[in-house]
Amino acid sequence: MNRKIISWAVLCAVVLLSATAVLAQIPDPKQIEFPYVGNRTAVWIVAQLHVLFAAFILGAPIFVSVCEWLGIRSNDPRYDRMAKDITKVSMVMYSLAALTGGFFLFAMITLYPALSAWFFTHMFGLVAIAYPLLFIAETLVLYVYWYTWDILKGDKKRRHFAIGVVLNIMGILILMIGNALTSFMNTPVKSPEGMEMGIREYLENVATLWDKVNNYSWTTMNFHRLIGNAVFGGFIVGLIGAYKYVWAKTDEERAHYDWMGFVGNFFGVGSMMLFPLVGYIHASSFYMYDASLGPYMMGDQLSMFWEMQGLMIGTIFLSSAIYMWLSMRRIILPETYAGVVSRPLVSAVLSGFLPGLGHFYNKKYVAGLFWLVWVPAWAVGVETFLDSMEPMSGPMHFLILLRGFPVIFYIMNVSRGFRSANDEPMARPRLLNFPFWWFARFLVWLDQFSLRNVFGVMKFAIFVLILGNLVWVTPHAFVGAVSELTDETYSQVAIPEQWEFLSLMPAKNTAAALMVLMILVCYILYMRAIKVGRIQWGKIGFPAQLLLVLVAFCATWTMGLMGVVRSGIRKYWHIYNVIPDLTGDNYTPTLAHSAVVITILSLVFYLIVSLAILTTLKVGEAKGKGCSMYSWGRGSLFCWMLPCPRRRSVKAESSL
Amino acid sequence: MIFFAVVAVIVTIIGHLWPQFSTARELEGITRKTERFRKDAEARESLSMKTKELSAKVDELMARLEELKTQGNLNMAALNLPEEKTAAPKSSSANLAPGDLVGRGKLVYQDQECYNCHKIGGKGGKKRGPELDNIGNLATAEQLKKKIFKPKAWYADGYEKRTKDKMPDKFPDVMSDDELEALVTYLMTLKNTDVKTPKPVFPSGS
Repeated sequence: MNRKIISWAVLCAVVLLSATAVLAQIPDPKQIEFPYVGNRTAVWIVAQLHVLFAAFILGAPIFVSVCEWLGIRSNDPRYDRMAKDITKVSMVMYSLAALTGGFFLFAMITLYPALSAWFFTHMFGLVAIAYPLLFIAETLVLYVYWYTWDILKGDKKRRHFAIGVVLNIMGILILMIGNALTSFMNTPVKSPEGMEMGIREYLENVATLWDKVNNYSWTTMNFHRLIGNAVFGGFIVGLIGAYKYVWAKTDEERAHYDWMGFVGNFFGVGSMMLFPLVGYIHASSFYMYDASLGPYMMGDQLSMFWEMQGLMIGTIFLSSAIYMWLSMRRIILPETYAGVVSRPLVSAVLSGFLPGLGHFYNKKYVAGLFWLVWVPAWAVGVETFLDSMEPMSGPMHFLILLRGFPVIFYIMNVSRGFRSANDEPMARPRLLNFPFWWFARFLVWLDQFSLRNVFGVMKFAIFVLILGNLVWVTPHAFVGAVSELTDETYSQVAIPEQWEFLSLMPAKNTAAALMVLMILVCYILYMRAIKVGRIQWGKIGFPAQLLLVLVAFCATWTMGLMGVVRSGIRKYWHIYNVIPDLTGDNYTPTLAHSAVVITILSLVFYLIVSLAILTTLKVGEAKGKGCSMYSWGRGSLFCWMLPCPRRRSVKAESSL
Repeated sequence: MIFFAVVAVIVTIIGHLWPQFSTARELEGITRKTERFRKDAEARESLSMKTKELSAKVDELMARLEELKTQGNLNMAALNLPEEKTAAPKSSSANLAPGDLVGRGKLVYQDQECYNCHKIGGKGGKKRGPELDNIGNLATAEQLKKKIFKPKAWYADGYEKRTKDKMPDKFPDVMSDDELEALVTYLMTLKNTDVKTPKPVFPSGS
């Protein structure tokens, strides 16, 4: 263990010394161009990978500590086993986070020397002292935590839990330091009211280190990323559970990893419910700092990123809901159980709430009432159609809530599509005013006469119409600049007045709140079913595991996407309004380009994570093989990076 | 892995399906907006080069003077040093015709994204900031300059209590005096009395 700690300490020292040495010798830094991808993408790649690994090693300990605590409280050994498995994977991730962090620092120093020099000069104590020291301290605590797992058992388990808490505190402190730098780049501290001093002058001469750290978006970013890491940790645990479930050889293993996947997903989705709230608070800190950041983020170059984000979050929620549906199939319920919810009522409330609220907000009561009638009718029509596709019985009644998701998707799509109503780039919305309700009724009537072939065609047709409607209401194009539009072209792209209410904040907030509400009700019904029924752990199907993988992938992808948005808010500045980016990379990357980079990075991340899970949890558990890393060869990367309690004994045995 | 690959392809395609912002158009604006910073950087670099060159020349001259001193034939009056002449740098906007200045002001309006909060000719953001169509009749050029560089100097009627959507105070940091001059010249041409541009309200004591 000592050798590892010394190695990491030396690595950190070398990095720091190199940094200071390099910076000291650069009186007039020249731009180095990274081959093929360019400087910005090169830094993007290492930074994103570092953030992903770091998010896991900060999120997983939160999850592990919660599990350990639950294990202590409930005396259920499954929690401890799961916590240990995750910690084992975290060790590899920790090393990779450190390595990518080192690469990130090197990339910054070599590709953006002036910016790096600025940070080292103005925030030296934070960047060069506090951060590396905390990192080394966290490494020490992590090793103590890992090595004392089997020592501090029974009565001493609480002490082990306490070490986990210390580990979490250190992780959060490191997160806060990282956030101080990134949030400072977005919202650097300005001179207080009445001081009448330019921002650069204030930062150079007056602002203290604490002023720079405690900038406008630091606190909100801390909350946002902390919860984000917890969500991410939960979903990655779900992924580990899915892998292990598929690899499981015995019923006992299948039961355990089925349970692990469920708990991971539950933790991830549960934490995610706080996201809309902290997200809005975080976004509002940008508005408060500089109102021009808001339109840029939500209605300008970055607006389509939010369309994509809505889709990804919707996919995560929907996949989790379907996962629960599949979970329900392995619950043995008593005959008396009924999870019935009035379908029309749910649909009407959910779909009518948003437009009604939007119009009442705008004091257009008559129009509001119209929407309260029309949209629920549409929604009930869709509901009825979906209902007719598969007869439901018994516990499946609760699925009505899942059926509400298309409605939520529709609302999300419309509200986000219309977001740009007040801003420069505008959408061209077109809607199909189709009487879905009557059409669906007609289909049900047809079904009753058993015209199944015709019915099948009609079902397909209505499905295409629904999809077409969704596609139609999405934004079709950006408009370069409002001032360049003629009156004619302006009227073509402007949002029709009767739809404008959907671009209001209450509409968007309601859509997000409904999404959370839906999943919450799903979970309540699920928990109710668990209470009265009996779960057959290990009987869940393979598709459920694919959903867990999908959710984890979507979460990673969304993190990457939001990283681009967060970084993009700075516009053409390295540090907003302080250091302009005068390189050729100072434009906002398009969503298409970002999607390619994020996808590649997500795939690389999952390749490494899968390898880590495979090495630590699959190969390592092969009987008689000793340590998992050892089985990959003494010289392997993981073998060198990880403390390996069993390797010594294997070596000792071989030397005998 | 196949599943990952399929999902990856799908999300990448979806990312390409949404409308994409024109990077070329954005770069045009960025080039204009960063021009002054780029010039500053070039000036700094050029100054640094000149300083180095002058320093080398001074060293050379000092060495020559020392040489002359030691030879004992130094006559300062014979050197006939010229007097330094300094001229104040001319403002670039001062060279522009009024029509050009208005055109440049329009570009500044565009580059600083004023349209996100203000409307002119019915185009632009709503609610955040007042419509500016008649601002030329309601405020003087000096008042407008003051408002842009010091947003709390005065308010448009009805916009006194804004907290979240208040006018940004960043413009002194991101705009040059020339740009301010051009923007205000353009705004002063807006005199459409058909539009109800709110009147300025000056806080008591200002």
